[in-house]
Amino acid sequence: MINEKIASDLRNIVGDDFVSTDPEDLYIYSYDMTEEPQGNPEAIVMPKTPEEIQKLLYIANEYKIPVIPYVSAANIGGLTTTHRGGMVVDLKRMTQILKVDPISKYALLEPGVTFGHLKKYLDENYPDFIYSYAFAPPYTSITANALLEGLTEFSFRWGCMGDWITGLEVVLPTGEITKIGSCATSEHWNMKYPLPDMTGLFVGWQGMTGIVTKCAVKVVPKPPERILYGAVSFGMNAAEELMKRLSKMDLIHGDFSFSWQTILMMGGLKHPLREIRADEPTMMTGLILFANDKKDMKNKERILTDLSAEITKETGEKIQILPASIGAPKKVQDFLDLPANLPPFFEFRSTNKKGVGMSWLGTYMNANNWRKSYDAGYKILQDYGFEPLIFVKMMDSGHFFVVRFLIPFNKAVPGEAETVRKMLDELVDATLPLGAIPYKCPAWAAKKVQKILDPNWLALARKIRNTLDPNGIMNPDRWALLD
Amino acid sequence: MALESVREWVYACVRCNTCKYALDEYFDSCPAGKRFQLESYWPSGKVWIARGLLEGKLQFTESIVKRIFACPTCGSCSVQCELEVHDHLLDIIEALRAEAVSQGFGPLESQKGFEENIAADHNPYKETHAERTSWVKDAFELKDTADVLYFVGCTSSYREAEIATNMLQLMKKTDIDVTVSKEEWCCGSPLIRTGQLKTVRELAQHNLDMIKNSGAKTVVFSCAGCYRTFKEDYPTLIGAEPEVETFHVTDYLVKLIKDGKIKFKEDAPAIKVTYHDPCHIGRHCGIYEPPREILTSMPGVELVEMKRNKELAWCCGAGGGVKSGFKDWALEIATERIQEAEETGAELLISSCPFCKRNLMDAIKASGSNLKFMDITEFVNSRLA
Repeated sequence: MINEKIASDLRNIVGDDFVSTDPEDLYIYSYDMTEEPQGNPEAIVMPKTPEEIQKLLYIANEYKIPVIPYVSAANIGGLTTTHRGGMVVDLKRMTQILKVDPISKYALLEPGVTFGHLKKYLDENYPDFIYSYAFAPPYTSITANALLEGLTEFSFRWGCMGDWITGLEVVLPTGEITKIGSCATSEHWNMKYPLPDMTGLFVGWQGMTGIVTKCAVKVVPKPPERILYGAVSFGMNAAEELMKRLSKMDLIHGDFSFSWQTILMMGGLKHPLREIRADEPTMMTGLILFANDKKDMKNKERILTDLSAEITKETGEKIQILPASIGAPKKVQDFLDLPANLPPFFEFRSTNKKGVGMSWLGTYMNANNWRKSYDAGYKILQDYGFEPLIFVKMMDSGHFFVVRFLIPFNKAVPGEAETVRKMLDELVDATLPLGAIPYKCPAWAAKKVQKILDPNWLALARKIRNTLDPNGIMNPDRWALLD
Repeated sequence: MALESVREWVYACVRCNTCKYALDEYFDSCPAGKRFQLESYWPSGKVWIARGLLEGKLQFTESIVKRIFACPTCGSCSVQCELEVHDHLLDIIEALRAEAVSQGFGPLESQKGFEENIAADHNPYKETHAERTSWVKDAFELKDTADVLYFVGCTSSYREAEIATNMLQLMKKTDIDVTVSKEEWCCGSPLIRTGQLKTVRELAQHNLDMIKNSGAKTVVFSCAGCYRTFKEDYPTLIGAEPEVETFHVTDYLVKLIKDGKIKFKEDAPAIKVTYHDPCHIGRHCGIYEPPREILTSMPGVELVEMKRNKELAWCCGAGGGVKSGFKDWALEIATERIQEAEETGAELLISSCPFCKRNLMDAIKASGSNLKFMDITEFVNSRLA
């Protein structure tokens, strides 16, 4: 319970302007864009430095106050919603891009730095470098997305965002400020190895093991040539075969596949979507190609064209390949030109009544079963009267896949949030047995995951958590480890 | 209930954060969010406050009042937000203010006198109505009726009189048949922006009647706030606007230049200038090019743009009751704009709003800047042939 004395202590640390216990702030921070029910914090605190965070955590430990790290609440997993009160530590004021090292190729960021801000910074100061952007609004935190193992446009080549991390500075739950990776030995933040890879104590833990105050991420040289192709599949077998073949080739840097309904939605159509005709495509795959020069690119384009012809012949289902600049409607191209602008997603069901909301079941899973997961989810969405808006992506050269069921909904429609939660429940039940694991996993889904987890995994996770956070203050609802 | 008028839109914000910065440009665009940082100060937070109040989960308090009045209503969020709600963000903020006032929680202490002052003397500055335009009329020997009626506005009548003087000088020099009206009242902008709507319909009706009775064929405004109020607020408030042509001075000067009625000195000294877009004519009314057309048509004038210009322009900080309610913060916002103007290398900052002039001049003084400021009326008048 945060009483007036504790609130006063918090104000002494970060200043009067940056602590609030006012109802309107607690109300706003009690929701995110998903169907997650309201969960009220008791205070909002906005620190500026690791030292301030350290002092906040000393107080949190003294009074056993839950601490919820926050930047923009765009995680789509209810991960910043607290159901145990406590203080939301909003890191929005920590916005420094501390360093870009063009030799070792990394950027050192505070947690409030967003994709948009890094893009701007690199464009202006290091035009030879790029970062990889998420399918998210531009003003979401790079550090948060990396720690939550989000995906980006180049995940085919370089894996999920957690794999881009090369160093961390963390304020541990007990207040120690600790460096992780090569930065623990020198001023270079370029690698996690050959020390024991302790980034694993923080990546994927959803803020349960500390507050990351600096995060070094890889930046990559801008390729001399880059092009986006659209591969339109007239049949799921062709789409599946395309991904299978590409995962065995050194041809692309990024891919993302959408059900045709998703493409229609991105093109501006709204719920309820019209019937899909038999002669329409089933899926569209965006393919990002890098090349060293025009000749190299031409060769890659030829290989891609030949590949589509082969698949068409073998499966009997046509694949049509075109540069996105020719084939895709402007609205779709805008979406693909990351950082993505997402109004069509948000407003898909904002028709008769104006209202928005966004949820999903996002899973990482084996390459073997992605199609089964896709088909199962497709049916569940349709059964609930929701269009099958589905996103599929190969990660780390196809070693694993993303299958994400996108669920825009309308918060102004009574009962729709509850329907979404029921549908998500079914989606998890259907996909877990196929080897899918929800990423940015909400607590309710984590409880289902726990039922199939190796009990020793769970015991180890709890042991790590209890060791790092003996008072159980850090984002305590996450991964349902306290239950 | 004022908030009822925006109920339809309070679920239409997903809090995607896009309103917080300039989309695709990635620089600051919301003065309130930048200064106060908590979600409740950003535009999306204000939408959610409206939602909480309508749902009965929140009740007005002093802290809510501070948040909803801490906004210069510059409208930058409306430009950045890509959802349908973008057109309604300012409506929601103003509805919140009106609701706060109607429930006895607003406006801010320093804004409470506006209503009384305007009721007493038709201006918010506690000046006497008799002195409003009489000095202008006397100084320029204006007739009672003319083709063109110049609506001076409270600020140019009582605080930034050089604007009115220069406006009339240049109109006289160009043989415009112009006058001002002794019956001009405050347009109501200070009341509308601070949620005090009790008397604004009366003000609007009076001013529209005054224009009709004046017999003028054209009305020209040098005040961006008055112009915005006539063009955007009166139709909503009383379903009417002037039945004659209305111009902001920037539009009007372009017309005069095109009609060949204005000639500029060919031998005027060379000067590098930059232009600040007032929110009330820029984002609120879409007037961006006319001031630039004027400046680029003047011999010897080099116009250089600030990093944030036109619809992405950083607010001067004076609007929406911020100058009266948050003096120090208003100055901070203006100081940021002055620094941006300095970065262009211009020696003169020009704008076209008496309220912007006041705040930007205050910031120039407070920051010790060498930049000079002129309203566009003053600058044009100084370079007429």
